[in-house]
Amino acid sequence: MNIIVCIKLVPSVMNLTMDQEYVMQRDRVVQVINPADEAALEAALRLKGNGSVTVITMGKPSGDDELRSLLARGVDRAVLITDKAFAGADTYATARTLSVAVNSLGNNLEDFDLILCGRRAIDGETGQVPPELAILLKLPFVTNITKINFNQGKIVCSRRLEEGIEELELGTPAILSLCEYSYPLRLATILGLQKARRMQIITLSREMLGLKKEECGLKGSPTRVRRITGQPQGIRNVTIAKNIDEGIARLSELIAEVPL
Amino acid sequence: MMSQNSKKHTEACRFCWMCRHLCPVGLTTGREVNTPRAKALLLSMVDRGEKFDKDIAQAMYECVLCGSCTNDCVTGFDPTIFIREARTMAAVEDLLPKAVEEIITNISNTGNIYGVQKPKYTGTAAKAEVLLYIGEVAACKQPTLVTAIMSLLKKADIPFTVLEEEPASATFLGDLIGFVEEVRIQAKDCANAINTSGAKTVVVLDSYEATTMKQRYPEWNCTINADVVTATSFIAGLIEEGKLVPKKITGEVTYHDDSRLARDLDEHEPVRNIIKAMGLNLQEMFLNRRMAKCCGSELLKAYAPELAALTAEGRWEDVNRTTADTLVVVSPQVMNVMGAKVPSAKQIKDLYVLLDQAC
Ligand code: SF4
Ligand code: SF4
Repeated sequence: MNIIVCIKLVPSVMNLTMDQEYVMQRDRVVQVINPADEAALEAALRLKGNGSVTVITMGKPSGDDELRSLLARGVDRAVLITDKAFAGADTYATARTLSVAVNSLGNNLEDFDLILCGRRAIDGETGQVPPELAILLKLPFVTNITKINFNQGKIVCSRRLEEGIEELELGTPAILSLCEYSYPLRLATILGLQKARRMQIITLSREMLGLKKEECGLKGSPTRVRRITGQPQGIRNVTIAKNIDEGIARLSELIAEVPL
Repeated sequence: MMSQNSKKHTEACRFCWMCRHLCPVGLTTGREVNTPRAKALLLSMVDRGEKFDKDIAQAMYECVLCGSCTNDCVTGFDPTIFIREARTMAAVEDLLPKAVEEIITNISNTGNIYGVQKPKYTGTAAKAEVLLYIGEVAACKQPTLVTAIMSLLKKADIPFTVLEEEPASATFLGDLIGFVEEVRIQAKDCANAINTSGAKTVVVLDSYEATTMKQRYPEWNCTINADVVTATSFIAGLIEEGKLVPKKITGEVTYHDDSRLARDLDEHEPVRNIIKAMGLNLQEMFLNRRMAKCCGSELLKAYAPELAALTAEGRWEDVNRTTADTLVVVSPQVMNVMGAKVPSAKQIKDLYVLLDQAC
């Protein structure tokens, strides 16, 4: 199978700062692969067989090292969509850019059978990019996937619902978004790291994708963030335990209060 | 190719000297390169275009990954992250020191760092709720320790099993080439073998291996379907439950906390409870518990014996500052490293052997 995996690098910090436009300040912050995207990537690596896995991400040129570490885990191609014009993109502008990139890859490389994404990113938490991408690419889409198999030309997948697990079957090409931790991502191998040193990261800019300035980034984003506020402490009237022992003692008290 | 996380730590440590006085290697060699700061500086230069060469690779192996620097860092930085990653880089760039390469060959040929057939041990039952994971250092170099702990389990009426073919825990490979997929696969095989045994509790003799199983296996999705406990807490528990009742022995001893048990697992009291239960008078060493100065490790001894001799001598100096004439240890690695450099007026004893004699 030929699979495209869309990944996002997210900040690995407790506190993030925003600029006046409420755009996250990602400089000097360690970026890691979004957990649900890791699951999508591992699923792709297991499904690819004799095919290929292409990873696409949109971000700063500093994402290069992290993409190389994915090449070392068995990814065949890594594509970095990077341009100042993409800064501040909302989910719609991101999905539009990704959809154009996917189409350009289809022409330049071989066609694809499947696009896998994480179901949501831990920074924005909207979960909107995968369905928007599916609409823009006019492809069937299933979210909240925990398991995927490929059987006689059909995709058989498990989807997590509030009341249980739904089993679905669909044809290719399709877009699926995976739940975090459903497929723990493998580590890089020494051989893979050696190979990755010599591999090229494909870089795509706004011009290469043929996108107008007003179609990308903040300018191409219909979303306007009016205000972001921190969660005021104490709103739920909770007491934070100072240590584990205190926490356990308090928990025991609360359990004792529950009528049997 | 260093991760962004590693770079964050090298950028912080490269101009900081705050933990240099704690590095057991730097303290004994006196060389600038043997400080956490110097290692960070070298790697930050590599990040700025300097060539990662054999000398830099060599410097990364002059470290026991003891975590003394990390433990002392008030700003929460961890040099072991970039040192391990630099070791991966050394393997990728074909720059491993020759002695390190030989150990990796031993591991791939025999599953242990010595390159020998690992001696086999048997438990009291083919299947039991308790599995004793002996580990390669104890199995190959400390049979007396293994016999003592098995004898203690028998005396406490604990049926136990031992894996017929005990796989490597991935601890040593992980310390040699960093956390890569080859290491995770070794860990997965070990977890699978433990799970197949059906044991509910795994008693791990070597604290280095207990640390890997308790802290790394979950990160690597190598689930062990049993409680993993260190031999020290398991034995201390048996004393507490009255299943082992040691006779009192008189004498003054000191104890060396090994770095992974005391720092990574934050476990220092069970050993002290065992010592107390035996009636021994414990003289604490300068730098004990989480602050303990590492004596070296079996791995360091395997690829850099002269360096391990120096770190062991460094720790014996601390023993010499106490009034105790006996150093008790619970780790097969400490027994090997410190046991090779015992000063004439001192002796080293294995706590399990002493306890077995007292029970
Ligand atoms: S670990 Fe902390 S104390 Fe040590 S060099 Fe780094 S920043 Fe400084
Ligand atoms: S881990 Fe230990 S040996 Fe290595 S640099 Fe830090 S203090 Fe020194």
